[in-house]
Amino acid sequence: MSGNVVLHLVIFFLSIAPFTIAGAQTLIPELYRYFVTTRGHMTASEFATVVALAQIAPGPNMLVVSLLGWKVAGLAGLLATTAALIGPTSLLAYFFGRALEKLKNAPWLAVTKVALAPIVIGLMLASGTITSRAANHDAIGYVLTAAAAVMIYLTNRNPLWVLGSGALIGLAAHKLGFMTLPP
Amino acid sequence: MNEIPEKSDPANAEPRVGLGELFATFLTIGLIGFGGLAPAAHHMIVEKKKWYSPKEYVELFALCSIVPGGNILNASVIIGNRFQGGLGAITSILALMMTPLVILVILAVTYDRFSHLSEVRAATAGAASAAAGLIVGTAGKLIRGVEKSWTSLVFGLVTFGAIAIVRLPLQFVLLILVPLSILWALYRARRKAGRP
Repeated sequence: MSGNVVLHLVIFFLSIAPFTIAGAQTLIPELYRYFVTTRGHMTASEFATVVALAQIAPGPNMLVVSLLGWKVAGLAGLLATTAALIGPTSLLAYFFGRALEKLKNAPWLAVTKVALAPIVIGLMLASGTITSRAANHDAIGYVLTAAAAVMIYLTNRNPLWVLGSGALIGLAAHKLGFMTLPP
Repeated sequence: MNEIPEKSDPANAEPRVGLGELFATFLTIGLIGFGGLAPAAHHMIVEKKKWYSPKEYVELFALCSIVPGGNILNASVIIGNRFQGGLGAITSILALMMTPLVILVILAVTYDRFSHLSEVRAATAGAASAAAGLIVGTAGKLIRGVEKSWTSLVFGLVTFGAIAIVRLPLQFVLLILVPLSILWALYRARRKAGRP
């Protein structure tokens, strides 16, 4: 029963691993589709909570994937999703890393980097949009999202500071009766 | 064609790094990496251990950003492999992931224990709204470093629209847009080089 769920998780992550560019944040729209829309493992606000917790925790942003696995199938889920995503990409880095290191001055490497940049930005904005829709239920939520985006864009503060402020404002808004809580 | 490996210059000899040292170094990076592993990794690998010169390190990261996967995780695999082969790669990435994974599980368990409190749920909802903004703001910062041209605007917008609005699968979008974008960039680079 739960073995099936874990197997399904492994197959899904193996299938998206080669498409992970610039870390796990660009995967969020696909993760949302799988965990919320297709498989119904969690609600939209639970998904948004996982994204937030993964950002609060120290470490690589790949951890959002580990936490999603944990939510669905505990320790087995965490190990399965982490290994199924990081295994293939690490193998790629292992086999091509040394070869590429020798080719680091090849002109196509610089060209590829330039070519990927706008696509990565498009993916990040899409991830932000999907997460924002999942997280926000009212105007206060959207105002918080916009304010956090501006803070991150304009300052070089540690992101934890922005997440902490968000949490405090959420708490205050709730106490004052301004905010509707997700069910 | 077989390439003969370059003989290393004795003045520039490869540092000797054992499995134990790889493990300890990457475990330390995971431990001190609160609020971002990248600064911690730079500190340990370039400043403290001097395994890479600043220039080599920048090049390593440029490389990692075009290989699928997380930059820092790929870097740990490449560094581990450089000193101790496959076993070194596995040791490095496991050591790096260990502390963050344990902290993540503690955080998740703690959250689950207290999530029945409406205060905790409200604070988390606020943090989740801010987390969405964090991703948007990071994308904004990336825009600063990008070459401003009509084509990069088009590629960015088409990617965004295909994923966020049309909701096409990521694999499909990347398989079409990445080759197109690389071909266009190659064409432009060639045209530029052709000009005197």
